[in-house]
Amino acid sequence: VAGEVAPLGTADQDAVYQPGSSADFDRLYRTCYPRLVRTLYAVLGDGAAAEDCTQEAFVRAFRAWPRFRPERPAEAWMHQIALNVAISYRRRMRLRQAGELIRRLGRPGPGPDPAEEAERSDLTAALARLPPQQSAAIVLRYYHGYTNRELARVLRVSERTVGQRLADARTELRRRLGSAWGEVTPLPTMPSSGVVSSAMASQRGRNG
Amino acid sequence: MAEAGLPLALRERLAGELDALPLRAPEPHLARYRREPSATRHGPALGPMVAAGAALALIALFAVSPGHSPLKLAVQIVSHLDRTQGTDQAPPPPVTGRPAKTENQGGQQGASGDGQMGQPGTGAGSGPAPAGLAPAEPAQERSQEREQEKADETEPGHGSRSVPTPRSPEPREGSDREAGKPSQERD
Repeated sequence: VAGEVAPLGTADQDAVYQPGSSADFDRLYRTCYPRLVRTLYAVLGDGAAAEDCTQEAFVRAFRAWPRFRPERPAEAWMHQIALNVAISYRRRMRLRQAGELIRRLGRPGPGPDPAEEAERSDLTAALARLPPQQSAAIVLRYYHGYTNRELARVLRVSERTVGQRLADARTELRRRLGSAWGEVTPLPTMPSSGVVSSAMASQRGRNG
Repeated sequence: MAEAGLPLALRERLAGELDALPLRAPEPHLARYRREPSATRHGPALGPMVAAGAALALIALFAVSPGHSPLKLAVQIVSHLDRTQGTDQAPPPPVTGRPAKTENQGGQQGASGDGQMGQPGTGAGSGPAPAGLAPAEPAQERSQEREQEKADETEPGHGSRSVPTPRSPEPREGSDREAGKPSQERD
């Protein structure tokens, strides 16, 4: 299997996956694992939590693998599952923090881990403080190169909602980063054929 | 119209930070997702273990205290349940024929349910209710009794369960006066 797959972590645009095939799932794992971890790191702001959630996402995906529809882009499907896992994780962590706050009842808490804070940059910290849907939209749009249409499919919202979330996320990032926001020169419009749409086009060409 | 996106510097910074993220190689974990999550995360089923533990605890309890055999305990439980059930099935208190419990001391008489002479009351009573009647009856029964009393007044000597017959030769004024009429007339 190792000889047939693309290099680790690169987008396998022309990949064709057979539902229920273990070899294909291994290939999907090798391809998507690093990309998912990076997405979830931006969403959660914690490397270990990102790895745990990615692994949990693959467990869920493996259970649903026989029902996978091959006409769907596999990486977008994996991102969908992984973001659901990350959102649930953040919700659990928030509940746990609330419980600890109640248990302490006014006593000062231990505070964040200094080593962890030192590792995390202001940009990553600002992303992790955004709502998970917004931070995911930022990473998928500006790091992985998804188009708004592909983002809408991953996040299960309309394209208009995607545009609104991106605008809200940019505004909040600008407010949090301040002078670190850097250049105000906007990026050129993303090409219409992103990673996932090119994979979908090639898939359509093969099917049709 | 060009979309306002992230600044180029910020985008490069984001890419640089995410690319530099130290990732553990996924190879050692390649087959981890194939494990059954219920076996790895939740452990084996606990039901049989809990049942076995409870049985062992019971056996140990009876072994430590030999005076309490399981049979004796079961008999005690059944007898206790029987007693509890017996009190639950006790008949309701009689509507009439019970000695009146009022705050007035003495001189009051209870009423017999069959129109016979009642036993002297020992309780205390107060209020405008005629003495000798059973207290705390529902309003509906009281109204029925009032109607019955009216009928008795028009037909003296007609025995009624709600009309008391005083036994005392000197009934207290305002208490047993009305109730004593029919019995005196009977006498």
